[in-house]
Amino acid sequence: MRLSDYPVVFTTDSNYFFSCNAKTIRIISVETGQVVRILSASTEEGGHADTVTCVMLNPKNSLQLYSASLDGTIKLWDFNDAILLKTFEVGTPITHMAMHEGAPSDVYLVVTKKSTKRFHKKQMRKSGGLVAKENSILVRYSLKSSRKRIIRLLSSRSCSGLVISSDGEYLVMTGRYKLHVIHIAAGDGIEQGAVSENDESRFRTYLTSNRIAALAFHPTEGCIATGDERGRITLWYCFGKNVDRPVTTSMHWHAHKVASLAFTSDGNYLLSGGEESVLVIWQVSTGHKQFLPRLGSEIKHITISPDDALYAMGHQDNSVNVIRAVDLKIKNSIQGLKLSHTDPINNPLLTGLVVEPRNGHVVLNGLPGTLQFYDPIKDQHIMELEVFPRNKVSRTYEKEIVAPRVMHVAFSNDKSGRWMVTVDGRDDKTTTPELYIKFWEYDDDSHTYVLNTRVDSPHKKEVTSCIFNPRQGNQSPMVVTTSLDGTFKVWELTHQGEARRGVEAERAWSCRSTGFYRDMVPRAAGFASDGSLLAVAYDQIITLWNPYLNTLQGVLTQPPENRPIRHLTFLKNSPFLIAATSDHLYSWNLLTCSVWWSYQLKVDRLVASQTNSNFMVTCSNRVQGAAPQHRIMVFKPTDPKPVRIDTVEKKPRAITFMPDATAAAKDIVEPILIMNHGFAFEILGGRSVEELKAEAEEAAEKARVAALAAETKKSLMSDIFGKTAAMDAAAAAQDKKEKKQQQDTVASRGMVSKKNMVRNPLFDAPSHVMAPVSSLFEAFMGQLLTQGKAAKDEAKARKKALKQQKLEEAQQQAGATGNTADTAIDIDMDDDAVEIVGVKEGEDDAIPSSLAKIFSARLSL
Amino acid sequence: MSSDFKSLTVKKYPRLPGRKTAESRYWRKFKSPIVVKEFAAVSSIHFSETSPYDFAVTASTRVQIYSSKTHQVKKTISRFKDVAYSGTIRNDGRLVVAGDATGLIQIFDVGSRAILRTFRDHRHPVHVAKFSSDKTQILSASDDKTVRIWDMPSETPMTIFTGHEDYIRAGMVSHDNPHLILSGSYDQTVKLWDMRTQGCVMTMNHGAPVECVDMFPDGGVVVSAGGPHLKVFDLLAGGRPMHSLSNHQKTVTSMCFDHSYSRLLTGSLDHHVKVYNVQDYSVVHSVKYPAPVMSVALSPDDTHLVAGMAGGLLSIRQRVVKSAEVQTRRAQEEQASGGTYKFFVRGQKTAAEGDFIVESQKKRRLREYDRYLKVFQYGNALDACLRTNQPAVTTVSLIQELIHRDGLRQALSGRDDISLEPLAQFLVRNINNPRYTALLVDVTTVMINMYTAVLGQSPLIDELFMRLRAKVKQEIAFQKQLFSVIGSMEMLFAKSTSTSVGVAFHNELSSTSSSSSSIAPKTSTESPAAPTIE
Repeated sequence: MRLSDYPVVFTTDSNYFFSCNAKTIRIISVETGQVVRILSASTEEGGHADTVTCVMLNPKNSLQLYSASLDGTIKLWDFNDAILLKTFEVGTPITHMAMHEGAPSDVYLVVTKKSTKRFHKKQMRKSGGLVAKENSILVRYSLKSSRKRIIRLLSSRSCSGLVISSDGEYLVMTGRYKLHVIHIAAGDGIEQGAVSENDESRFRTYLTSNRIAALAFHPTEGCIATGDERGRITLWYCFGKNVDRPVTTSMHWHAHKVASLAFTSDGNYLLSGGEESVLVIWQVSTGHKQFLPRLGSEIKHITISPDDALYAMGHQDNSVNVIRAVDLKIKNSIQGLKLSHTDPINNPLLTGLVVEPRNGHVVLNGLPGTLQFYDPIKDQHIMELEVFPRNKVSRTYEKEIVAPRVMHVAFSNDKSGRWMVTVDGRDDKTTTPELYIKFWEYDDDSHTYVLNTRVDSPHKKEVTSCIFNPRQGNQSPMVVTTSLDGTFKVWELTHQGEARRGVEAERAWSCRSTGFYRDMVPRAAGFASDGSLLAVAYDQIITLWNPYLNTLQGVLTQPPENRPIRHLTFLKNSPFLIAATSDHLYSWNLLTCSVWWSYQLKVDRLVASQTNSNFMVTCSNRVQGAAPQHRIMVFKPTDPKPVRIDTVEKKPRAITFMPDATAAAKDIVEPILIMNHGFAFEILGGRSVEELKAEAEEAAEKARVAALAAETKKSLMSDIFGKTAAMDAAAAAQDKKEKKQQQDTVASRGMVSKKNMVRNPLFDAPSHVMAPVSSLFEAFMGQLLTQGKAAKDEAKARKKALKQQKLEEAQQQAGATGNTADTAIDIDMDDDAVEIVGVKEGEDDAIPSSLAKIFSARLSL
Repeated sequence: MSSDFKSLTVKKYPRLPGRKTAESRYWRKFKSPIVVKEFAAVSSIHFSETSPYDFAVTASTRVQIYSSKTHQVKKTISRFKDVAYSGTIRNDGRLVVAGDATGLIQIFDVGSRAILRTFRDHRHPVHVAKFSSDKTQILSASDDKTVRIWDMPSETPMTIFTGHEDYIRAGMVSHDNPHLILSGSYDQTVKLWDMRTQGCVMTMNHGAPVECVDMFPDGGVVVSAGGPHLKVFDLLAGGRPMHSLSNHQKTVTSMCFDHSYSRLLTGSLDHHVKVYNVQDYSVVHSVKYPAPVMSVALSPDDTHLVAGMAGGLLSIRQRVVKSAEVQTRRAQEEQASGGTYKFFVRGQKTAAEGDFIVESQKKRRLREYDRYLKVFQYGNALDACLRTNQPAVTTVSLIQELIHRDGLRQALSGRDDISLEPLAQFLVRNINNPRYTALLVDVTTVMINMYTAVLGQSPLIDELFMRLRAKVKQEIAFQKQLFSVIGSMEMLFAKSTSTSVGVAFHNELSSTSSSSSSIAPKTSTESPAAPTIE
């Protein structure tokens, strides 16, 4: 998901907003943060072919939406039903769009065209096409087909904003150092094409000293607000008397670029935001400021809802925060994959994709110093974990502040992923580099990982790998780290200090032993799947250790050439060890201690499956004169012939196997999860991809329904008169349905919660206000007796089931079973279960009647 | 959104092993001893069981009641003509009993000091005179080899136990059963008497003249002290000895338990008071006194440790109790017991279903340096941290945070000699601490770069810079020495056969000498991975 590339747009009732998300437009509920509908979902069905840059409600009909895209089209949507109504071909990439209800058939567009100036062409050639100078051209596009469609108004460079005044008189566009004000409502000269940029009555241009970065038009007055690169906000009063010599007011708080500006609908307040991650609310008349600091990430866009109740902010880290205007508290936060929007040089994907064992989510680098837990199937943010806690501060000088990096993350191999280990650090090249290993324990109460131990500078140099011992059972967990300083260290959970009265001893991780081998450098390590053998790759040698006794078990040397092993992994349930150097892939058989097979391959990544003995590699073949090929190959350890090959266009950023229990059982290739070059997740192959998708779809649909249900917003009517009968009935029906479902699920698990039976408000009262025991007795005993009956029924049913089971066994022994008979018995047993539930339900009804008896007894007293 | 300001996280380093246990930290809290000089050896100290926990000190012919609050003498009872022994306060805190060397036993009113009862049957010194757990009786034991139970109202002996063959110097009445009496004698035995059978029911051999006996409140286990030994007997197993301890060099003269009966304190003539954990009878702490300890007592609220010594010195140590501890104790006391109204309505104050709970939000107080950090005044934050006497680790964490924020130069710049002094002082003091060295060297480099230009203008700063230089030089020389030691030792190990030991040793040394050690492998008992040199 790319949520915050372009500003969001609210619907007129402020309950939903539209977010441009690459080629699609998502409608997101403010209340729940769930995606309610997706427009332009596929190009084949009439969606956009390129990034959607701008969306706008149809001024004539607020249930329709215009969207403009870089593919040069404008599309009109009915967003309630997600139907494409119309497509308008403009032909050139559209970056900005503006229209006014006064002239709903005229759209003002900013389109881009490659510069034709020789100087720019030359520059472009020099930079290898990276710095393409593009001209922004303002055009008017007519949606009515009878007229001349495109009329060119003016041309500028890198447009940063386009707005129309609220009365529709003026159009304002900014480009670099220029502010263009165009009088669009004066006559119909534009119609004739008789306009030129030199027509001073129509076109006015004001120059500024700094590059303009943000633009907003005051809703009631003739005033334009611009924000520039240096952080200054300028208010231009350039209408009426001041046409020639505009009066300007400047407001300066921001230290860096003002990224976005927005006026509230009454024009009293101006919101601004930028790199400081602070939302500043200016009172326009007095210049008084209010701040909302520490928003987490740089603000890119600010949108105010039509009812002025909500502020939506698009952030640099691919998230949208919706804030209530009243108390400035967050209402909802919608987050995408954080990594995709940060600088890939300062914040590379060092951790790769790590599958967390608890829920099967993918864990990867988020913002610098954090990890993000992400659900790739639903494309949903799960959790963000601050590995390196800090207050994000913006830079003081021109130079960026060096951010911390999370280098490695690994999870303990038990089902619940009890322990997590991370390696993080910070190196600003001037002070001593910091390096930390952190051990985290899952906290069941807060459902997150909590720091247990932090080890400062565990190694003298960079840590090259960090793995958990995969052994199962109750033994204390073990972690091995290897480092460029030539050592590997074994870490174990130990008890620190003694247990005090009632308090358990503190648990912490500490280094148990340190190992080294000659003067070589370890670059990779791996554990056998039962944890009894540790392999550490020292340059081109693989050393095998017993991790418990710290003894060297063996040394494997094969590659004669001087190529260090970069990847090393054991395979699950097999005696094979896979090692990869920069140009070879080796499969070692540890039973014979010999290379089983090898393959000349430039391996980028090596990933072993967690469920079976498959492994995969990514490699890129650079053929002379052709574009490099990037392949993903899946192997079995015994066979150099790949089980599966996929070719992708661009080098994938990371790959991993999706955990899939059925694949393990059937020993087939699990689905492969790829993060492609554009930071999007792709899933390749596997039997159950469609199913997974469908499941996710279903869940999403459910969430959507829930989102819609949650949004039956309170009306004034209901505020005054309470809920209407119809609403009550609907709610009751919903409740009932949910209850029924719950019961069904409980019944299907074969457990009937005893709690329901015992829950009885009678005994909650203090004893001195209760009815005497003599009058309670009968009712109470009666209750117990019904239970007894239920139990008897249950026993009977169980007996019956047992009998049937025996029968079934007998049938099987006789060898005369057919599938049909089996299913018949199954159904029969299901019926029994339902019967038991029926009895319980009856019993619940019985309790109130016994209560009534008690109360009548009390009355008679 | 607008997440809260994250206050500075102060680094936590692993505790080095072997220095201090939680136990010794606790007992060290009994500090600031007040020493009072009495006329003669303090033979007995006994705490009242009622608040405010005054205590009776018996020395020479006097019994004095000391106040726990002021540590001053509240009342002095000097109605004995000979040396008094065993001044004991009754558990309601109103009566005091004591015996003397003539065989006289007297009961006094604490308030008026008036003699209420006198018991004169003993013909030899009475070293034990205590109240029974039955309030109307007293126990006495004398050098005439008898143990007597007296009825207080009638001043007559109820029971006389004879059977010991030597002086009886220790005795007590069981807490849970006033019929059971324990006595210890110089005939090296501890005897258990039963008033119901009017005779001895159990005899345990201590092996040395018994100076002191005590019993756990449930009456199952007896502890006796005599000679340098301590013995623990299991009454339920017929007086089977469970433990025999000899942690003292000289005779153990006195014993007492703490409030919860989880620790045992013994005082001995070897000048020591030792604390035992009663689970395994291991010594968890020991306190040294300037003279042979004759008597030791711990207040029922575990706040006062009082020891009386042979030279007549009385040492009172007090532990300042944190309010949290007081609260938990109060909560324990206030726990509703069954049958009361409070017990019936307990837990009903919790919100019922449908109640709207108004939550009050507590405002977080930030420390001074955090407040400055929040408003980006880095220099002030550093000053605040150095000024308010924070532990070095806080300052180091702050400096690290400043580096993270790219604000170290900003924090150090623009200082005159007065404002630079605290930082320079800090550097001089801490630059050789291996945990901080790496970071502080960075800071020093920045500081020197900034201020070399103005050196020589202030004698204060010049002197500090010189000291810093000297300190660094000294540290480098020390490190060099260490390395040469390591080098020579490595040569020795290379010769020896056992390589793994060599590696273990190597680790230990390197972690001591390395500038910032982690959770060091110092604790590693197992030998680290052995290198195999092929």
